[in-house]
Amino acid sequence: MPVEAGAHLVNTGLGPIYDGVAHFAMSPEAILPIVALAIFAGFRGMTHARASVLILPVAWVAFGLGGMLLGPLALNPAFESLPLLILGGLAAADIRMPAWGTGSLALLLGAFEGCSFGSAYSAARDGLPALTGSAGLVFVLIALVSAAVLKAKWDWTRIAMRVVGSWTAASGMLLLGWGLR
Amino acid sequence: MRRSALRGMGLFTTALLLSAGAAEAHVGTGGASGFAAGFLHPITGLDHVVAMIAVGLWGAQLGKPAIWMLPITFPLVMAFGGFLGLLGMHVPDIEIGIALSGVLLGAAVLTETRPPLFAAAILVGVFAIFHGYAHGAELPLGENALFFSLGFVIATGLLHAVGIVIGLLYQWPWGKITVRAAGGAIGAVGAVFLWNALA
Repeated sequence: MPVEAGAHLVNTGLGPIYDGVAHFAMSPEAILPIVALAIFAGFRGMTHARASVLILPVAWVAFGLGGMLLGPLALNPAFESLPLLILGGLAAADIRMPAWGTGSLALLLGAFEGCSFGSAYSAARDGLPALTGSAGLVFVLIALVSAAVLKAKWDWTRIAMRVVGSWTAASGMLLLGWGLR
Repeated sequence: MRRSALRGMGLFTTALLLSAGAAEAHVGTGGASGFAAGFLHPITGLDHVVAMIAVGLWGAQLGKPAIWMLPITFPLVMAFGGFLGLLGMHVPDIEIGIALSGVLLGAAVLTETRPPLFAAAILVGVFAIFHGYAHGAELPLGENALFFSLGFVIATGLLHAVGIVIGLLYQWPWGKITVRAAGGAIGAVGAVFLWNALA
């Protein structure tokens, strides 16, 4: 289901690293699954959160380099919806899973999104710094959110986070329908 | 301390809601171009609005765990209905189902019906599919599907939250009457829509 490529770089004027940071910050389709993964890992405990925080940025950079070699990709929204749907659903359901399972999810998410971002940078001269900048913000985001979830003490905060997961999955479901339409 | 703070927040929010001005919602004309269009979509139809609020009211009336299960599960099931609508699958008697949701959910709040949790969840879930389907079938093609979807889901969730906040009044004797009266009003609105759907 190829569609017209819509990937583009953000030009902040502050250099390629900040361009990468800004690109990620303006990409809700990448931010939301990471937040959902952080919530899920935080619910499951310290081991899961550590695995996610370590694996996701590394996979992001590794597969981002692969994406840069592949060149521009034209992804149907149906594919972009899957991380939202799966990770949001897991966070909403608060499903039990071994730590290696959470780590595998982080690896898959990093591979998919990293490759997508890397392919967007393939045409740019300074793709690697931009990729590094986006990976840096990915690390900060998943570390902060998973830490906040780990430290959540009140029932209502956990419920609020599951609601965020539910809304993420629901958005993914609609996006999937939109992509298959 | 926390309980009194919760009561204070509930009263404050209810006061804000009651002091709201006239609604100026209108049918969106901007297409599926972004968050605002998606956000406006669920709140521009009174039949949808009253049913969403009724779900929140009923959840608050039923107490834990329904009060938090509903905002978690309803958007997912409703999005599944939207998914069916987007794919163009046929679901019969959509308008009747939507109107019935207002009638039955309003009646449940009015009569303080307390079915088993799974029965309440199934009833609400079936209605969620009707509402989601109607929205999904109407969604125009647009450039930013994700922002539209986010706005759509968040608006739906906030309508539940409005119902839940009003439902927090249920802990006081006068609040019980208010919540049940709100349920009755929703049922009446639903009955009007059902009449129109059957006419």
